[in-house]
Amino acid sequence: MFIDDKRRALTRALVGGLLGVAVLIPLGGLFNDIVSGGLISMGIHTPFRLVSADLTLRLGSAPLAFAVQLALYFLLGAVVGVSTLPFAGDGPTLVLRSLAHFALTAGALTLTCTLLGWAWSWQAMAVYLVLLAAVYLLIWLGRWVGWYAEVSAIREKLGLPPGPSPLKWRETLPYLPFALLLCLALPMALRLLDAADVPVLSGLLYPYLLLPVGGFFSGLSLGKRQGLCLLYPVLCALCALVFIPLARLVSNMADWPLLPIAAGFSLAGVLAGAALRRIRN
Amino acid sequence: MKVDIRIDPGCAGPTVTITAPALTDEVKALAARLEGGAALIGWDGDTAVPLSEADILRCYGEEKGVKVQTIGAVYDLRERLYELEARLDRHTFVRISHSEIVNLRKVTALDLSLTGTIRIALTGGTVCYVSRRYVKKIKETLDL
Repeated sequence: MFIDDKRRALTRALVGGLLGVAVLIPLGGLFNDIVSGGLISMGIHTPFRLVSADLTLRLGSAPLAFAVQLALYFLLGAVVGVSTLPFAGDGPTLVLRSLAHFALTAGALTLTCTLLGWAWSWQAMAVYLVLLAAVYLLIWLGRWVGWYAEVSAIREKLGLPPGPSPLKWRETLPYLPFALLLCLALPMALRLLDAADVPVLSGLLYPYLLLPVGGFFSGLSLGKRQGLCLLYPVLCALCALVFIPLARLVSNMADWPLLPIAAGFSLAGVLAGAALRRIRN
Repeated sequence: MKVDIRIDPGCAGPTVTITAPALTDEVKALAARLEGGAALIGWDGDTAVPLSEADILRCYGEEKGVKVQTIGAVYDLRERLYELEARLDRHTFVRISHSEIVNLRKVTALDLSLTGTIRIALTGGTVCYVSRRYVKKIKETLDL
């Protein structure tokens, strides 16, 4: 499914699974205590809990729970082992296979955390998955930077003009003032001008009209000029992230929804603009 | 250029060693001419068209055959890609995928996508894609 060389994939899965068991027995033992018996659930605390208390309760038998736990450790190790092989050279195949592997790893992690009681709430599970996604993104970014360096060296050797900056940060820079204005200065100004009892400007007008429209069309403009600039939605989200604690100084409104609105609409704009540019070219 | 000929009855066949103070374009072209042998012949139906390496943009496999593209036209070739790879100047022509060899002197642009796909634009607007497996070969050709 992910790898063309199935034999190598099977070997890596096997080795990964065994290593997973070897590594997760001690780590899992410590974690089992923290979440199932110690710090989180305020139960009986032991320095090391070999078998998950949650799983033992679920299955009604400690040896059976241990066997299932080892199987889960093996599964986690196996999916990590498979990830050490290249999924594909490049292109859409690489993206699809990477996404499929992420889905599989997320599934294995969710199953493990749920059965072993390592996720005491859906929020905790969401944090684990966000961390997993962050690891995948970091690995992808690391690979991409390597590819970028290779292509830059080849360009230079062939005497070609230098290409776009990494992740098009230089091309995105002129839009920084607008992002600061839209996602930081404007909401702050509106919040200060708003009435204390009915914040129409910052509670209705801004999140439902100004931010989405401004985010989308600024992203569209950047996408049409420079193509896919994924740093811009990140920039908008960061500006919104700075605004949220500052706004707490003047009001008690829940501003967290501004984060996905700022990132989402600017991303949609960039994607639309990049698509239009591609069609035009 | 000074040419020395040494006759050695003991050697298996003629070999040529070029001694030069530096690897210049002239030296590369000389080596290519000595390695390449006969000129490349493109076919337009039954008409044979001699082709100079300087005019070739790329050679590629298509419909169980091999074609060569110049700025003005596309011709059929009788050679296989691996034969062309050995025959063409290896400092100028490089294999970029299972079915394509390009002339590096005709590259006008190089773009990298987020998925790692490298897109090459050649003179005249032709676009081709580099397989990641062949990036190492391009780097070796360019001494990177």
